[in-house]
Amino acid sequence: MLQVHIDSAGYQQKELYLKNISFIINPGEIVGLIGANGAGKSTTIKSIIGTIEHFHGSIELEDGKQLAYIPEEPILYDRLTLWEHLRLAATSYEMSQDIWEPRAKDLLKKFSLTGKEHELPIHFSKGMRQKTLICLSFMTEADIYIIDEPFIGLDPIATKHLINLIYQEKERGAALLMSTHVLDSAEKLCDRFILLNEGHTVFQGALQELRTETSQPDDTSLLDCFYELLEEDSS
Amino acid sequence: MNKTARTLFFKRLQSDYQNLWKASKLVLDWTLFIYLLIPGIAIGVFFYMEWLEDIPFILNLIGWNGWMILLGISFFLHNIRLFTYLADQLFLSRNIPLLRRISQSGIIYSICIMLFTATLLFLVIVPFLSKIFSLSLLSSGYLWVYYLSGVSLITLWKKYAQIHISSFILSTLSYITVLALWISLSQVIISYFLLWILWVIISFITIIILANKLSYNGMHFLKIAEMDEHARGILVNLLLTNVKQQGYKLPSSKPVWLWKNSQVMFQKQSSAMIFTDAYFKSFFRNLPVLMPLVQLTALLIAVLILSAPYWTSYLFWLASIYIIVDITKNGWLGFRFNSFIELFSWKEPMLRSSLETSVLRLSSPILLVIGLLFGFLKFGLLGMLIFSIISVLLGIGLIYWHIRYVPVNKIKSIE
Repeated sequence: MLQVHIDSAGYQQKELYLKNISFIINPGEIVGLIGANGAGKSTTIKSIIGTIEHFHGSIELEDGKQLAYIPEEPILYDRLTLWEHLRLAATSYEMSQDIWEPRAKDLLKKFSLTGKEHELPIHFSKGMRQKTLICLSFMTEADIYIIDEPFIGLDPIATKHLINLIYQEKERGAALLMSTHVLDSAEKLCDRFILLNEGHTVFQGALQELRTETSQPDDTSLLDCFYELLEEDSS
Repeated sequence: MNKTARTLFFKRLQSDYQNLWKASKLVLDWTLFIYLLIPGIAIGVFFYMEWLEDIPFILNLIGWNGWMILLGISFFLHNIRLFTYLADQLFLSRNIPLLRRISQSGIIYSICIMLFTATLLFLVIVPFLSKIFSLSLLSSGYLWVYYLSGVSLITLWKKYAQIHISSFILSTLSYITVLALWISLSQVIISYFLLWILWVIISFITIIILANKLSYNGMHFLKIAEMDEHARGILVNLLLTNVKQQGYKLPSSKPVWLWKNSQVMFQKQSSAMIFTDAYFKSFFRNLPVLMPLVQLTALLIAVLILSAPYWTSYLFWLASIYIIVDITKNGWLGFRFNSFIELFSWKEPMLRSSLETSVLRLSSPILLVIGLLFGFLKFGLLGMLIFSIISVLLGIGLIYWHIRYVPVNKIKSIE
């Protein structure tokens, strides 16, 4: 559904940080983009979204497929109410009112935002802003979701609802690419992992393949494999 | 410590100017700006010389106190900035001496800018005063120093009151008292050298004390930083761009006004109208963005009234139409390239339709008022009818001629 080929990309033309990153995301697949701080996860996501300053390569999204993005920093417009944000997002996806309204109400209820519809997000906490962006995104029922650090700032109940939502969307056939540091959640959720280090890919595949690659026993956690692989790559 | 504070201060100053430059590059159409600016300056100089030759009746009528009131009003144009950022609380709140030194540099810089701009304004006004009140060069010099002392006292006191006096009535009363004292003593003080010297010494000491009190001392951090953030945004808001919308905002208890239950403002609910609805609400709910448009309209009306007896008023009228249409376009572009709006993809025809509708609906009422007023000043009641229609029609023409070529999906927002 989504084919990513990044020859090089970065914030400065002279120092393009990302080099030779290629992967494919198929329908109904959850792919974890993992790596240490500064590994290039957010830069990869920005390359896919098209907001990186310098990019060489190609991003191919299957014709007619819709993409939704949840940034790490919850960006909202201070002067529009939560409901006005939802309406505007639905407009961008050309959704009719009788489709987006019930979905929006259901999501707001799940994420405990019912009753806040007509408030300005300037009063919202970081977690509430994050929940708002999750509602905005999942309301659209896109074909592929790109989520940057989805669990940061969420309370445990909201985290559980988000995980359920991710599974629901996967069953519907949507694909998800999520960048995260929360490796225990990623281990449970993701079908495949793309591990980045210092701007390049060090591994792509399922957890079992990662265990084989790092010569670890079958019950080794993603965190331990991740640590092992980074040690190898650095040495 | 001194060097670090100075370096930080200069970096902040530099980034402010860079930000302003980027914002102006984003919104100003330089070719047309130059076409307007150069004739504007030429016409301004022509009027100034003409009025100096033959001083308008009203300027004679207001007398000494009237002139002093005008000069007094100009005191409120200036602002003291302490160059404190909200983000400083993360790193610097424990480092009070460093913040204090930055704020001291900010006060010195603000005072220098204030004295320079006040002197420029005084130089424009003093030829009228000399002519009307037969002031000698020496008296004009005394008045200049007296004016600068008033500007400094009021501006520093205003900042002090904003930080330390929470009562609006009390602080307003204090401004009025200082202003009334300055106006009523003006004639006596510039006539007697000893009194003038005494005033200068007292003012100087008061200014030093106030400046010292204003330097950051570990108190009222959030209030100071919020005021500085607002002051930084004033010029950028005048360009109607929402630069740096994201970031930390102080919680505010202000309720939602303008369709508080989030209903759509317009009956027709197409994609373009919903986008326009969101823009209108964000525009009217955002007073720091709305007020510059109101102030600009008031300024244009004042210019039209003053220039009505002359043929050049037609040029001002045409320029007003262009300025209003262009500035409402810039407001829409500021909204369009906001970080939240950029999260989604928008189709170009929808954006273009929203831009044209937004500019038309926002600028038409203002153009109508300008046309009614200008027509009345020129040709009475019949003029009102003709010029109001022509103003709106010219605005519409400008929208379809000028707005049609504005890129709505290609400009990069500034970070």
